Amino acid sequence: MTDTFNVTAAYDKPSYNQGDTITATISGDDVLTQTFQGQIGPLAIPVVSADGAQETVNLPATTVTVTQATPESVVIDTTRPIVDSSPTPRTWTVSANKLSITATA
Amino acid sequence: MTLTIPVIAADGAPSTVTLPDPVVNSPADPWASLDGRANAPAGTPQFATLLNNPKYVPAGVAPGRYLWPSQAAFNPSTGKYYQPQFHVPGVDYAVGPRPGTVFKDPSAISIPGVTVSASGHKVTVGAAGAVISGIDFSLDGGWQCIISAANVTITDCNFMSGSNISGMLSMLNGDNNSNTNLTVQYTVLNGADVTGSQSSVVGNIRGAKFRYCLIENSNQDLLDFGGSGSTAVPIDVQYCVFHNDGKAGGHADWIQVGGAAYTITLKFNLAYSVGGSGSGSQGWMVDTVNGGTVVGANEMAYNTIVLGAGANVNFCFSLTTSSGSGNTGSIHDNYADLTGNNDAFAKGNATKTNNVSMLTGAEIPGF
Repeated sequence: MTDTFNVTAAYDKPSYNQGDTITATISGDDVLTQTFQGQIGPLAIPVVSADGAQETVNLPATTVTVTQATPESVVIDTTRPIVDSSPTPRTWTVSANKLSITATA
Repeated sequence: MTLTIPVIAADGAPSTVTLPDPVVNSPADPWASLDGRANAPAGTPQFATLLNNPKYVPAGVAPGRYLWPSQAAFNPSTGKYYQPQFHVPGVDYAVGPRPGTVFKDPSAISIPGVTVSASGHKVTVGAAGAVISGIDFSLDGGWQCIISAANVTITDCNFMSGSNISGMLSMLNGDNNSNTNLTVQYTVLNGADVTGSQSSVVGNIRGAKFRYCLIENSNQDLLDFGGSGSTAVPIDVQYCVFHNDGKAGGHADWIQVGGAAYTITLKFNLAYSVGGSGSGSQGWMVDTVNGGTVVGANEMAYNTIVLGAGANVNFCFSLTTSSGSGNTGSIHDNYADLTGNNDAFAKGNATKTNNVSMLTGAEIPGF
């Protein structure tokens, strides 16, 4: 099982004036890839010829692998800190739906 | 510099997404056209590190000079800044003669109406509108410059007291009743702690404008305005540095006015005293105690004051306006380290608002 994040974030404006509210919103998903293995067979396939003769064709058991990719939703993880490495770090607030953060410019 | 946002998928898998810092536009610096930087002389400021002091920042903030729009020296509990956000003369820009000035000997002055006494080491400016530029008055143990006409300009000059003017009147002196509208700019006036019966750096000037001057080391007052008469003249002092006075034992005010009528504008100056005013300085003293009147709209604002221990400054400001309609005084938005202040921050009947202690980042109470 693997997770592949296809998540980006963007600000709501190209630039801000001092005192404006800065909003950064995340978008995208995580693709969860899961692999299942199973067995097919053995199979006994009845066959019949044109003159009505009957026979059975047997197939041995075989192992199959199934890969399933499932998109999953992604939100901001509120259990870990937002890291603002600017010289004057801002205080960021996570929205209720956990899809955006806001701070004062 | 980035912003790193932690994210989590529905199955609990963690990751992060990063963004560059947001682009925050800086509005036009509100101080740029006000604080004097625009026309300041190039060169290294005389006291460039004066405000890089751990006393002038909030706890936990590295010492430094935090100009607008930095919020590093902001005190959220008071809404004030520990340091001025505007540029301070002598700290954020230099004062004194502009680079490239080629100084000339005072004896070489040849201007109609200007008299030069080589033996007496005096230059008397008797021509209205005369411009005295690039003169080194510190030569030969010091020269005096006597102003006896209106609208004279002294620019890019160097004065320093010495053996020739010890005990004499001020090195830049005036006929104190008729000479108005003197301009002194880009000039050093150094009293060199010379003592004497009268040793103000500038004395008996009847109203003047000072810009980008370094005024220092007088035994008595740094600027002394005198004269008589009821017609008010402006005293307009901006972008200047007042540095040390009275160290030789004198009673040295930064400004004193005498028995005439004045209107004062004192803005964006630095007063820096490391101690020793002999009998206690009374700072920028513009009041009626010497028989004069202070009329019109008077303002002392956006000045920065650093008083080292033992500066022996009784008060930094004294602004007392005369009674009468339209006579107002305001002392506001000044920043001060009052370590060497031994009485009060300000006196007089002027309003006192938004003056900030650089030691606390809080407003200095009015007096």
